[in-house]
Amino acid sequence: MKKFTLLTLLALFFATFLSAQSESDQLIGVWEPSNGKARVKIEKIADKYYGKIVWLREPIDPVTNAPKVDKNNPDESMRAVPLKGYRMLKDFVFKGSGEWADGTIYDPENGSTYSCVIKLKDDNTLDIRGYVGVKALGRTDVWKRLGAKK
Amino acid sequence: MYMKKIQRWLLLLSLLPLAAAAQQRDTLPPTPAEEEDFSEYENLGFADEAAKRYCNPKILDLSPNRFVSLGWDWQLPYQAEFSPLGAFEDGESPSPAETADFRSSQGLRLSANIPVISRNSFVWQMGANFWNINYGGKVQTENQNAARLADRLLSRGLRTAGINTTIFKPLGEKQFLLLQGAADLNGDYTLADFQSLQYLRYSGAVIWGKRPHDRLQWGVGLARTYRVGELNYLPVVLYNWTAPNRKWGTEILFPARAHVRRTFNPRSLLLAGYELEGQSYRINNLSDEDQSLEIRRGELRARLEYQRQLGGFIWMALQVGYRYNYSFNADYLPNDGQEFFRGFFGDQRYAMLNTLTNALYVNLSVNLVSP
Amino acid sequence: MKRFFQHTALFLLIFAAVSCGKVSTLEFKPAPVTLTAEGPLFEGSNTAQGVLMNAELEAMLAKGGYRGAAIKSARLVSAQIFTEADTLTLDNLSEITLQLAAPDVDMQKVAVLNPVPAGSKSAALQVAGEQEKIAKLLLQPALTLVADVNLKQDAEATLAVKCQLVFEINVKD
Repeated sequence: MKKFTLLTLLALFFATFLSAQSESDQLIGVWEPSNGKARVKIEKIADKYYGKIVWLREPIDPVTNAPKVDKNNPDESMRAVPLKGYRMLKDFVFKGSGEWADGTIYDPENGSTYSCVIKLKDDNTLDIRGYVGVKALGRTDVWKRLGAKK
Repeated sequence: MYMKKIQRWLLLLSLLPLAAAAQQRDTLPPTPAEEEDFSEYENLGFADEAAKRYCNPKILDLSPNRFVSLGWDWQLPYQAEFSPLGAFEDGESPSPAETADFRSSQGLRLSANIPVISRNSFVWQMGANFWNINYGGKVQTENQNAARLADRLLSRGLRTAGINTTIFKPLGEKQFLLLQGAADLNGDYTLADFQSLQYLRYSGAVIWGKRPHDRLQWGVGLARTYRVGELNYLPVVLYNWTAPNRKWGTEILFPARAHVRRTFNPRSLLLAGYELEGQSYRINNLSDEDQSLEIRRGELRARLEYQRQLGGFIWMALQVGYRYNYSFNADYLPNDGQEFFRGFFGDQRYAMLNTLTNALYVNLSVNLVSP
Repeated sequence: MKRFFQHTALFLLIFAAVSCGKVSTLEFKPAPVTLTAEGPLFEGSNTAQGVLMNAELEAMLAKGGYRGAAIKSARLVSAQIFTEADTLTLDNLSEITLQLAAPDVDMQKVAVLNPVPAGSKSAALQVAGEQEKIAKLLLQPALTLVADVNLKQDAEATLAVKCQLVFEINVKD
């Protein structure tokens, strides 16, 4: 009987752990911001979530005729970083209830980094809220999950 | 000083969620990099097939939106002539009953704009603003019919407090609707002697527009405005554009304002152009009689405006320009303050015809800008 | 009263001088870290990772009579990537961006190389001018090196390049 109780507890523990794990990993995938200019792949590294640009609608800078780089970075020494592969979402931690927080979002258009919180609205929709200091001072962008075309 | 305080405050607030989230976690070995075929990202579609794309409210390189703005506006010396109270046709030149040498007119300008709903398919912002104009200088009364308006300006100044709202509604990927509305209380009121809300003045605009690409949005619409001092209905044209080299652009909401923009880098820019600025200011119980006037203040400000990032999301803006007086006339509006429409062609008479000479002006503001 | 203020000021000055102590600068050059991305790999952005254990830094500090807590600040001063095998070059890499990550510290971008010089077996990355939280990262039990690399073409084999980092560490004596 004791063994049975222990096994049940263990099974319950693993089931809870696994479901929490799979809920937190729902963020993983390829997403498109509302402007449709880029596609961002969110992945997990060392227990946190990061999103990198994997596709650009216009990959070539019309001025330089070369692949786009992070030319607006406030740190001049980092302006050669290519935008393709750029990690624009960084350090998101799963907080439960479909929310990932404590991260930042970088806007390569102006070189600004904002505090950011991500909410999973449904399986295929993310609310990405970039804000300044307090969440009320922010803007929400809705990102859509991408999948193989049917 | 204020800057530092605001920055510290923001830093503190931004650290709060981090502190709350501090947790112990074991170090994990790195996850193996997944194999990644870049070309696969080319042929993806929305996982939810019903999902739509919407047109963005901004274009590239526009001067940043302001969440909070704290500024000071300062007009250099100018002269003013005020007619006696009467009934004057536009274009008449009655001899002045009062003259004033204004040393300066200056004051605080505070505004806030907070997004209430900010989504791809709908953006709704609410804002509030408070502007103060204090007059300094000398007044000379030319005859006994003087309404003593200049005295009143010197002793009480003018102020505007109001709320406004902006709604951006994308109509698909390329078209949008922009609605703006504002309610302002303008006059020589003070906190102790507040003005009745029946004198609120309402303005607004409806614009339909297109956003063909990331560097252009244009639109046409109609505005109910007080920017020329008195109520008017005007067609409006929106034209925000950025050149392919991203150095030049325009920010135009004609006729309210029009600027050419030179972008030095994402953290500094220069605007050159003009803005029409005006309101109808209620002056209750002027002089000995129960005369209640509305000063129809409208001016054109030709200017250069330099904006730059001070640090983080704190920006400064410095305007230097020339203020042309368009109108400082006054209408007699009986006590219920019932507004009327004169437009450009109406022949209603003015209670006062006043003239101001033009003046240089400077406006400096510190702003918390939006993402 | 005046004397009280003078004494207080003097006391504060002495306290500040004593509590600050002397700061020494050390060079920390850990053994090269292997950054790997398991093959097969496809053209475009890929991620190679490796781990730098804190034990190495602790050992160096202990040798000099310091402990981790003595670190006041640190910055990366050089980052070099190279291949070990004689036959391999860095030719399939078009660009590389190096970041440092750990669970309790924000990921920091520390170096970039764009483009990777053709035909080279080794190349120095441009180190970031503005660096933050490097000391905090070095004090984590393990530091993950995350290299985002853009590949010029598909590759069947696992990508493995060595990364030699050199840090400058300011420690309080």
